[in-house]
Amino acid sequence: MKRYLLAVPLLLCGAHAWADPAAAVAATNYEIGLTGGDTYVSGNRASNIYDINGRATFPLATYLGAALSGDYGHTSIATNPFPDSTTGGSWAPCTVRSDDLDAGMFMRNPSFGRIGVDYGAGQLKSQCSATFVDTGTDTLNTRYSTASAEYYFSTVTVAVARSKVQLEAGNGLDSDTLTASWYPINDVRVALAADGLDLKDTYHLDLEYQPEFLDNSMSLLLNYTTQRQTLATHTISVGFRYFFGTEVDLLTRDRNYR
Amino acid sequence: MRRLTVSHCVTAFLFMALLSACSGGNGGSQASTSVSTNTITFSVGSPDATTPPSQAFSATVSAGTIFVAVQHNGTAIANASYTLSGTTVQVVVDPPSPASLGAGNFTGTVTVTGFSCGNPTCSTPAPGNTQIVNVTYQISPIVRFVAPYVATANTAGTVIIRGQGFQQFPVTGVTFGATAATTFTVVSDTEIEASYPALAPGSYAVQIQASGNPGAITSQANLVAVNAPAYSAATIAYPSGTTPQVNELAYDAQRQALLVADTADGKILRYAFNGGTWNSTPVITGLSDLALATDGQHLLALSQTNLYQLIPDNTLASDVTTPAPTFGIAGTVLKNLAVGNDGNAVITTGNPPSTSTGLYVYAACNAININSTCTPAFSQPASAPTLDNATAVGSSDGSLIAIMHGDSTLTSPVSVFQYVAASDTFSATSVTLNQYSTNPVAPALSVFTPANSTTSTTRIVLSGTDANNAAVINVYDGSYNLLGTLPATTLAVVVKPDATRAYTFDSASSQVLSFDLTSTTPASGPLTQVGAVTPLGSPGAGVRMAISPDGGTLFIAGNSQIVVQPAPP
Repeated sequence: MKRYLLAVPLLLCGAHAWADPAAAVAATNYEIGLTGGDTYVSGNRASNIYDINGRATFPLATYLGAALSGDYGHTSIATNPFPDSTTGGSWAPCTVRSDDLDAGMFMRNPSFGRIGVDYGAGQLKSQCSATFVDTGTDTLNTRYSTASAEYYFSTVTVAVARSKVQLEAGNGLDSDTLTASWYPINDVRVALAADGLDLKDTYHLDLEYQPEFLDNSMSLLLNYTTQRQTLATHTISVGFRYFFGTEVDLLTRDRNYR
Repeated sequence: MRRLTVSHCVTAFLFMALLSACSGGNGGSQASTSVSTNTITFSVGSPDATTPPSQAFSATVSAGTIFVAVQHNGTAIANASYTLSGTTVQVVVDPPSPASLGAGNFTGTVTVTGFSCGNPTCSTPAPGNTQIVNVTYQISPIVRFVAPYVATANTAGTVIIRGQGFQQFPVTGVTFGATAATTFTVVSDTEIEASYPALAPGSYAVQIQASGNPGAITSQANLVAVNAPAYSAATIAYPSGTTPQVNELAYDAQRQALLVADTADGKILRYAFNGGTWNSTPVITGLSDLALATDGQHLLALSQTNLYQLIPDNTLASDVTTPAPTFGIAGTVLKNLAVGNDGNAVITTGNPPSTSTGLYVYAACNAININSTCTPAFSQPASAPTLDNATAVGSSDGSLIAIMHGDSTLTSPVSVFQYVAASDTFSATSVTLNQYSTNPVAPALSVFTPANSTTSTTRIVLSGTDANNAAVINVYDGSYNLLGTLPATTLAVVVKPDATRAYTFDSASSQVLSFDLTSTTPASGPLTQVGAVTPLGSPGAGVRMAISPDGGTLFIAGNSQIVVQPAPP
């Protein structure tokens, strides 16, 4: 419940938006997105994921902005042995549902960069014969915080982020992420990212394309993530985002609206 | 849209260089799971065995694992439950009951997978390695029955072996004691047809050998070889003051005893042969019909409300008493029984003068399990019809039970039914006859398979009124083709075990007549009489007949006395 209460003042603060290209948030930006994809583990197990998310970014002051986001995810995990030499029949996938709500504040100079913090809370719930280690039940609540910084350089953005997830019974997960984004054209972003700490050896390639023929109101997403550990996992997902009202190119959106 | 420039490409290159320089970090990693064992084995001696105890194994997950999934599949596993304590998972694997699976090798798999956080906010789980525990469950075959369980000593023959799992493990041999079967054929998972050579008198454990099955296979069946009896013609008097109505006459070849079900007095009379004489033994009251169980180690006896499993010796002590099922129609009683080679007895019910009532199957206990794992019970298979005061008779090999029904008030014949023990099913035959009195000429049948052959000969004698309302006594083959008729003056009939003769007791001549049944050509006329003999005394009215397994001696019981008579040619 606390995560929902957290969102209320931020929403109220951002209810009024104005357009100022030099501000942290030029105008309030609303977007919703849907992504879906598959994860392949060592080539022989597949899980599928879909995720619905929404995000609102709004100005609080000239260089101060805030964001509120939420998402619902559904992961269907294949649990078959691999290679599957068993003869007992098919294996029911293990479905895990997740939802979380995130609120953040940041300072941004659109011509220089951005720093911010986020706080969120989420919940995982398994719908198979699975028990969370922390709780001994099928449900796990999480809280997390993220500190991030971005530097804008020409058509390049370099970002670092440090996240800390607190699991229900106190165990935690720390990760850092280094992301380099490049805009070959103003409506295309290519991002490469690497995770560290508890998500070590995890790499991402993101493409976001906001076609002009859709009036800059929608972007298309393509993501490839790989984790190179004992098991190699490869995730490919596609999706789209829809933006309400703000019809600007992607570079401008990322640095002035999001 | 802006064009890509060289500077953009340079910038991209620099990004790649920057990222490639980034180490993955120094923290945790994917969930890693290990298990204490990768194999669990269950094994029991037969489908009748008790369920083996559950087995447990432990799994350990690495730090950073957020949740653990334990999944299972396969028939070898009834359930896999687990408890979690820290990073240790204790998994308990429960096997299903052997009876629910039957014989065979069964497999199953338990998987244990740990999951870690898949992204910085832990909203997506990421699977680690999956540990596999293979579960095997072996349930050995079992030999339950051999039919007929009595063989004539020094004469080769063929028997049907019933059990379970004969096609789950390749059967490589059949033995009778230490003597190997001369031939055998696995007919189905529950049936083997085997021929034995000439055996000396004695009891022979019926064993099968099956490759892939470690250890001995449980056998509950014994073939008893007895010398062909050489009884002289004799008469046996009933106890003083007794005028029985003989509902059933059975010959216990193993114990050389005659058993008479007297429905007038509700008694079973037992006469054992002791050298030169037949001796009367205890009279059991309250009973109306009887038959030896498939294994011959019990006498199944009916009263109107109970089924008894009696010890078939001179005590006739009751081993098990099973109450009749609850009947839906008031006045319904247990009427008649016949035994199949599957261990089941077909139980007819009656509710005179003319009411359709249920047909039941009674799963009898055998001598091995009667006081341990067996609970005898009545059941009604889906194929069981409702019949009108039915009468059942079974073949000596237990493979076939013919069931007649009807009553004198019916104006058209009704279907004759059969119970096929190989499939445990009832079905209507192509024959329609109306059982025309409460104590008709009892049906008779024989199914005979010569030694070292898989071809059997079946002869079935059915009496009743046909579509012309004429009283007939017809003889059919196994496909219910009419082969001929017996005289209307027949009071009782029995078919020789080798299916070559029908012996009747004829009211006109007061003789035992012999008819040739070897013709296989369908015909509707009288069968050829090939012999006749006048018995030592008259059995009286309400006659029933029985015959020794070798076919050499006839037993004729009426309301006056029992007559022992060597069979005519």
